[in-house]
Amino acid sequence: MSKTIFVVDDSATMLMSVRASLEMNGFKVETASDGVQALDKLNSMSPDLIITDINMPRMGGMELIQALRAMSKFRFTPILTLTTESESGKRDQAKQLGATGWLVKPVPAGDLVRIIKQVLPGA
Amino acid sequence: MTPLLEQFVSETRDLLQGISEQLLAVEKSDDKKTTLNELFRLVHTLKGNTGLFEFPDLTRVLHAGEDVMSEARENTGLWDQNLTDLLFDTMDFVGQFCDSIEESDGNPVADTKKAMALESSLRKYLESSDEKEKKAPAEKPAAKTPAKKTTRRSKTTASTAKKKTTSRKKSSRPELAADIALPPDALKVFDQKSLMTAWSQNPTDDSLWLVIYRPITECFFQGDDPLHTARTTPGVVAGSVTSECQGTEISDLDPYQCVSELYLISNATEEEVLEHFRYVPNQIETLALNTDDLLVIQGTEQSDAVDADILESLCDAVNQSDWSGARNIANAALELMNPALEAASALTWLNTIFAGSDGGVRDAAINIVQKLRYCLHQPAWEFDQVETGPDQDSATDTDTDESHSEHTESTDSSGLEALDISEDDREALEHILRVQRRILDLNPDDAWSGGRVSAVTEVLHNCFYNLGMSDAVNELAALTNAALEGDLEELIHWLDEKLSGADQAPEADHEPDEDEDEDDQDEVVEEVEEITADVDEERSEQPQAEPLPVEPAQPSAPSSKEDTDSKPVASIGTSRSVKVDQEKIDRLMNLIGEMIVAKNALPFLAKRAEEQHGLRDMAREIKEQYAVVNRIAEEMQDSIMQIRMMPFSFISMRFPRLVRDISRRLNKEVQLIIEGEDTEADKNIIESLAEPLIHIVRNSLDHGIEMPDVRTAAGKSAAGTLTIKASQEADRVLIEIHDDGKGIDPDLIREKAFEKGLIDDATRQRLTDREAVNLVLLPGFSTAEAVSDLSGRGVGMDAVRSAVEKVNGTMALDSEPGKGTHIRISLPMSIAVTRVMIVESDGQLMGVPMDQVLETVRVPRSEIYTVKHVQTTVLRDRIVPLKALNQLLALPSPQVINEEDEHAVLVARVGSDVIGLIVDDFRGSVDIIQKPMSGVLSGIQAYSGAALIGDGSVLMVLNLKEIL
Amino acid sequence: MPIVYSEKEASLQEVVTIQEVDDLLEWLLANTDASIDLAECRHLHLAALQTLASARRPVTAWPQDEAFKGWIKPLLTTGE
Repeated sequence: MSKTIFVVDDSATMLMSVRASLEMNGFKVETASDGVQALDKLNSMSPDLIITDINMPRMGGMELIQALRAMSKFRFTPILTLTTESESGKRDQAKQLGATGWLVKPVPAGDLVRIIKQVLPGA
Repeated sequence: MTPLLEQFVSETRDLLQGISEQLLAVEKSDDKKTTLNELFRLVHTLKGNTGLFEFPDLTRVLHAGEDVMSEARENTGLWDQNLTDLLFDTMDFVGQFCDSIEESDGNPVADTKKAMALESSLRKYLESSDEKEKKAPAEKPAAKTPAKKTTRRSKTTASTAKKKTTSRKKSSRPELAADIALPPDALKVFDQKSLMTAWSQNPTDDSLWLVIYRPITECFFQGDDPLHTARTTPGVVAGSVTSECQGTEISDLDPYQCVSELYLISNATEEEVLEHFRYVPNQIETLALNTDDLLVIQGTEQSDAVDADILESLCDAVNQSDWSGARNIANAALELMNPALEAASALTWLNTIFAGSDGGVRDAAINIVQKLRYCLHQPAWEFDQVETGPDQDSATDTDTDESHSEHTESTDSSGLEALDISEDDREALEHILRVQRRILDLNPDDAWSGGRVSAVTEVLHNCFYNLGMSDAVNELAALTNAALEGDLEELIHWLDEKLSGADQAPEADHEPDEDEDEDDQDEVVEEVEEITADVDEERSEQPQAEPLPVEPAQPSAPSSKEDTDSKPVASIGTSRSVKVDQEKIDRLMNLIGEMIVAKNALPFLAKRAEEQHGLRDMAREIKEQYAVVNRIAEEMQDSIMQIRMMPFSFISMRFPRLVRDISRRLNKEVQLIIEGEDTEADKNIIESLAEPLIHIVRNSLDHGIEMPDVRTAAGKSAAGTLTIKASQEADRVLIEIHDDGKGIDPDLIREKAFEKGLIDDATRQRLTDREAVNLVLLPGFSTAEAVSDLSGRGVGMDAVRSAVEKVNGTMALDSEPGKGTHIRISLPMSIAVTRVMIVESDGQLMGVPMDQVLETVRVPRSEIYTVKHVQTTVLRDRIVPLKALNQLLALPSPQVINEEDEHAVLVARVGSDVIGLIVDDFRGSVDIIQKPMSGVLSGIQAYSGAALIGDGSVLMVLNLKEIL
Repeated sequence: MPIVYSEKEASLQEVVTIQEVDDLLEWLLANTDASIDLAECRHLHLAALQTLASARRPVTAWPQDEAFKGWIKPLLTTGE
């Protein structure tokens, strides 16, 4: 069964790029453009992995991670942050809040899949 | 263009708009910090997106912009007008780049010079702020390398460690042979079988890593599965888990606390291992291993497990490298032995070792035998020295040292040393240049040599560009064309110069030889790969300034009723709107048009059912159905029209920037007020407004609003006010532009118009002030004495007027000298649906747009007079000229007169004239979706378009202005 | 289903995630003399492995993947 990955980013371009890479590799992809919309959609679904941008309007990645970790169904779900090379401080902060790891934008399709396989058993 | 690139361009434009708004806001904002944060977010997103494409110029410029923005957030004092200007320029550059992407279908040509200039200007801001900071103790970012404990054990430390373990264990055991080390205790956790498998895979490989992974207790709540992470380690050859759980009663177990440690052996490089565990750098420990370390003997100690004679002969066989003999001995001994004993473990190892065929066998066998003897409390055996190589470890070390010093030497002698770049960069650059140089030497007759040269110049360009060597970039650009045309001489010469100082060997060594072409290429490929790896590494190690939040402020989309008055950014980013290609909406519009026509056929059908077939019930049912379909179709049409509606803000959002730029250039102070930004109108109307409005705004600033000192002298505030207001009035949109400038002097206009021959002397005397002022709308009128940079580019207000009229709009101008000017533009809300009056003439139906129709009257033939060859009549005490439609359309038949001897006259307003159009009959009004004529018909000016009507026939819509 | 429970045996199959740990633990507590079949198992979340280690039940069949077996066997056998 193909794994579902939920991607949150306020940039439609970034979403489109990540979605293409993932779908090309057989993943199912769902998206949201900020934390609020993500929480709304995630109420009714349980993806195998969540990838989120940090800086977004309304609700950013940090808040989203905190909110998800407080929900019993997402206690253990792997969460990767989508950061730029210069945001190492944010990565650590996100880890403290419960993120599993991070991706560095722009993410080449090969790296993306390799990293996902690393955090997602059975992918 | 790829869809991704299209998306990128579209999003970039939105982001630019958002950035521009924020830039303007910064200047006014009291809460600079919030605005700057927002600004940073936008630039950050923009830059992030550019990374998806190969647009180095764009990325570099935006990177610099991002850095400046990041700095400015921390240090709001950095912000000044010049920086705003610079950032505006930067965003213009990005905008032009987007244009170039679109025009070139995805292969933009960047203005590299401009990019470099912008970048360096931006960087200057950073430098100046750096200097300020240097006074305070600068806190450099901590070393990036994760805390790791790496120990390459030397033989001596290992044996010391071993001594401790042995003394702690059994004193009765003798010393182990001096060159045999006991493996680290950690290896005892491995299953012997895994170790054997691991050993068999790497009998001679000397670089193994033991990784000890101690996940934090809470790791499951970070989404970690340490066992999965460990199992997927690159090069993993064996793994094991220990856990405190074993000692915990299951009833007391908290399964979500991680209380395990994971051990694994990998034959990948340490870098690969550390990279794999990058999310948990503090939870792992790496330890270098030798293959020998895998030779772990496990089990219960029993000193007499092997008979002394058998041990002797085993040692002998091993010493003589008699593997089959040794194996027989080991197997025989194993058969009778308790497998849980240490000796059994050792003998099993021997079997594994002998099964392997490679060179490590003798060493490994000796290693095991010595350990076996140790387990059996026997002293070490004296094995003969056979072809013992130099100590592997130290050999490798020397190698590395040598190669390193070689590198250093060659760079020192390189001509590139003058460059102000790091040692590593220079080394990489030299390497890259050399490879390119050799590629240029390849057979120029290959079919693909053109592509090769183009690749080389691209690589060189990127190298020099990324190192900021603008001279080299320019020189290269000059050489590129010749090179691409096949003349490589100069490029090669130039490249050699760049490489001068470095030994010229490459040319001598690799004299191009056609036979060797292939080998050469392979080598080149390899080297290129190496370099790529190097560069990647560098890139990832470069410490970057801290960037931040991003929010694409979408300009309020067509449907956004919710973010109307509230300016706050928070309400903007919501993704309630969807972007749709305009063509799709147009198609929808066409479809609903056809649908309306199709449904209009139903009443005809009902009529036929009743009249021709006598099916009264059926006719009634069809009519009922028609009512339903009609309602739905109308609602649908309404909805589609709604989609086409756009808020006025779509164009008004450009004004703040425009006004700011112009007023700064003119040294005037202007306050801009925009009202009614949420007023909606059809997309075409809104779009057609953009140009005229910009022109009007320019005029107001240029000619209307005075210089501050003039204003003060006239008792006005120093800052002028320009108000642009949009509002809805019935089914029309009203745009009013008001400035409190010096107004227009009607006398001046009168004189000017007369001078230019636009009016005669009598008119000059007769015109009221108001009428005089409106003369500026006449073609060819411009009040500006000199053509200024801003307005008066030969296009006057008349251009504005004609643009407005094109979409059936009207405009009027009011002005009071000294007080200001007021312009009113009235436009239809929608041009998609036009209401027309259908008239009949010569047996044909034609439409006249309703907004031109004043009234329809029957005029008795007796009341038509001919004055100066023009037919006229008097309507409500007004003389109305009459024209026969048939005559205008060059139709031969006379207009039909009804039984009361009356003509049907449609009174219409065309421009400022009122005229009566004689037709045969009126047929009522109808809503149509007018489509422009296409093909050869488009050349016929008499009709503005055509539409389908209910019975399926085509209705031509008259263009009265043209035919009169 | 990644875990098939019968009266005497739990058969862990494919990839056992942490989501299954609650059920597994409950079942182990309720069936004190049952055994574990890992023949069809490709991966165990560490939390599941810990649970099995704590339960110290006999393993009737090991995973077919030798490497995986090597990882978990020492932890799951010493309790026997």
